[in-house]
Amino acid sequence: MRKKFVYYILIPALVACLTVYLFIDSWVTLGLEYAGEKAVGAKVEIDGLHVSLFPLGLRWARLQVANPNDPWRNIAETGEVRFAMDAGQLLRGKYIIETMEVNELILGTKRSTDGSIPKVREAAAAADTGTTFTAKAQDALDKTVEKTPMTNLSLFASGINADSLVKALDIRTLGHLDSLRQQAVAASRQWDAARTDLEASKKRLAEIETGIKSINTAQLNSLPAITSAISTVDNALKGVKEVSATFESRKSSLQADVAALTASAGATERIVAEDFNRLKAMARIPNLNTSGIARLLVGDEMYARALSYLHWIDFAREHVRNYQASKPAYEKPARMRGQDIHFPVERAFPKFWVRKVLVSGGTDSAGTGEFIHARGEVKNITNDQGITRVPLTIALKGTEGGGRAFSLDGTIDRTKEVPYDEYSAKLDGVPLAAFAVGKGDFLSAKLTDARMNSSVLVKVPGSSFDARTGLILSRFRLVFAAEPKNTLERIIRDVLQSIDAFEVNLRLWTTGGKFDVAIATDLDDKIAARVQAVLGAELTKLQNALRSKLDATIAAKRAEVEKLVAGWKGEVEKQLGAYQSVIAEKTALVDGKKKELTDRLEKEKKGKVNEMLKGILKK
Amino acid sequence: MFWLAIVRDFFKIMREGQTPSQIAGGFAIGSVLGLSPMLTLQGAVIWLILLVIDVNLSAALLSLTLFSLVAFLLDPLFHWLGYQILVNAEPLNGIWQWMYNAPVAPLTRFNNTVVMGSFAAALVFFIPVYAGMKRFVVAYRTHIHARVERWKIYQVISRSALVRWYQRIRDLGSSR
Repeated sequence: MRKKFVYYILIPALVACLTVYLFIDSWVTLGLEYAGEKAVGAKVEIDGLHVSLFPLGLRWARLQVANPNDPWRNIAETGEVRFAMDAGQLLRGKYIIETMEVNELILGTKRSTDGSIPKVREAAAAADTGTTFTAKAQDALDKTVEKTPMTNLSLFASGINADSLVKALDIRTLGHLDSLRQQAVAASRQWDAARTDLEASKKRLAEIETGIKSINTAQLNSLPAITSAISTVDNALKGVKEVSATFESRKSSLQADVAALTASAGATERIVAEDFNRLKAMARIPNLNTSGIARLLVGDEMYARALSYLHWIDFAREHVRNYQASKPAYEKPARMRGQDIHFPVERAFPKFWVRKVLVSGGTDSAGTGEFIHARGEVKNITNDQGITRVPLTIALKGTEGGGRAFSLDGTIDRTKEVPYDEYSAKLDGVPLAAFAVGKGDFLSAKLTDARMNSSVLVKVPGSSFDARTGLILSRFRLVFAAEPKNTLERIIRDVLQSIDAFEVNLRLWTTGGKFDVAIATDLDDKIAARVQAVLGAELTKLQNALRSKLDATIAAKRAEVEKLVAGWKGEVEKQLGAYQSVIAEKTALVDGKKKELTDRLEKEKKGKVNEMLKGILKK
Repeated sequence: MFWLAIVRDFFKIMREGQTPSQIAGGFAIGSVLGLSPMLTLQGAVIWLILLVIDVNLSAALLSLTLFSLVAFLLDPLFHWLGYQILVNAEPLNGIWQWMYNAPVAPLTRFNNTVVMGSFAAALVFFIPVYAGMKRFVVAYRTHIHARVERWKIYQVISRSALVRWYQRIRDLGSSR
């Protein structure tokens, strides 16, 4: 034993204990803040944290979690939070908390300092490789953004040259017609080869016919002569069948060509229609259907709102670990980090488990009525639902003196192989400072001093996704950036000024592939009808002008190809019909001759038998 | 200066003072600490053993430094070895499962591939490191030190200000 053991062990141990005692609160604060910031991507601040040893637990006076999308606001702020940990499980390296008490949970408070962490945000953006729901939805929304329409019809009529638009258009119909012509030429070559064969077969049939006709049944008086003739007819019949089989084979091949060419020719009209739609888009003729109006009216604002909550769904997907049933895959971790291998747990305790978080709403002591105080429960926050076998559930509610009401319910289920998330949130009576309507260069307006009731229902089973967002805006004031520039703007403006509330619904969904987007407002039909009544005739005239230009551009080639196809098709069908008739006729001729000879043979045989019987009777 | 003091003490002890076994023991324990990641329960226990038993601390600290570097270089190998032991060594699976569920054992972080791989490697190399170091100390004291002192390069360097400064440090140690 070392003599100066006490100096090496006891004194350092005492110094270590003292250091831990003095600094443990700061260390735990720093550790929790660091972990929180890494998870959220924005500042997490804890004030007045204290670690108690008997019972082992933590409490802090205040927690602020900044919103990464709006760093001058907090996602949430709490008053005093306290909880005790299971000391027995802590010895097993597990953090089990039975009940966490959260007082004064307030959502959306303003911050006095910037809550952003630039490095974290950049890293998160770099890590977003397009596989998140946010990235996929962003991609889908970018593709569905309605272009601002050309609404000044007089400018269109006088200033836009339909010829130049048609020239600028990549007319796919022309390519299709070229392809159709090549198809027709190839089919025509095949037809020429087939016709040579069929003509040879026709010659053979003529020879067979001559042979059959040369057989005079009446002149055949002996059984051997009749049998020989029948044999000749059988050979002829075999020859006719061979010709018929060859013909049927050629016929089916040619009919397939005819069908393919007919289908291609039939697609021409659809491709012309697609070209026309693209031409209309280039001309920016307004889309008067309801979805077009909804997108123009509130699309940008709604998409921005939808993307803001998709971020949190991705967050849950990324941070709540999924069920793992199989052997862990070999990973390549950073140097000196290693890979943690998890084994089946018998005592059913995961590494981290908060069974219940009790959130008390608290009171609006400041009396500002600015924020919502939430109350409710969050259950089963854990790092491994595969062990706890219970999903994370959220049930929060909140009200405030100003008449606002809030509710958030959620289930994040990782207990099965296919993860399932469901969230529903409602926020009623929220005073809205501004809600953008229209686009930058079209009907730029804002709804101010509005009251908003909003609801969101999101279901995320596996890689599928279905989110429905509804907003009801009421008691608003309309502020337009400028006077109406055109008829369409004036109509929408009139409709908006005649109402005091309207509803917007947005649905974003996917079944695993690409995202679909649908947006509608209860004003769509009203606006569409008014627009149609005022602008419909003029727009129809413009559309007709464009269509005439397009038709004129493709008319010559289209007529030429359609004539070529129709000519070939007509000739093939006619000739095949003729060949079919010849074969049928020759088959009937040979069949008739065979029957005739067979009858003659029977008759001859019967005569011979009678003669033999008569001879026997005479004897 | 702290590390110079350790080097000074180490060379002093290589020449005289503690036994070769004590120096080799310190060096071997230091190798285990150096190869294994810090902040594990077994790390704390090995530190305790190092402080309790009468082995050379300078040798241990020097060894810890050298083997920490080796551990960094061999990290991918340790990760692979740990993965094989934890995942693919089927007969050991029961032991790991039991330890995973036992109290205290998870604090060793045995289920981390680098911790397991490096600790296993450290245990395997403990005896060879100990035996090798012991033989080296004996050889240093009997032959190598005298030979080194006869090298021209050693004599040239020994006259330099830097080496005189080193010797001053060394003599400080031996005069105590």
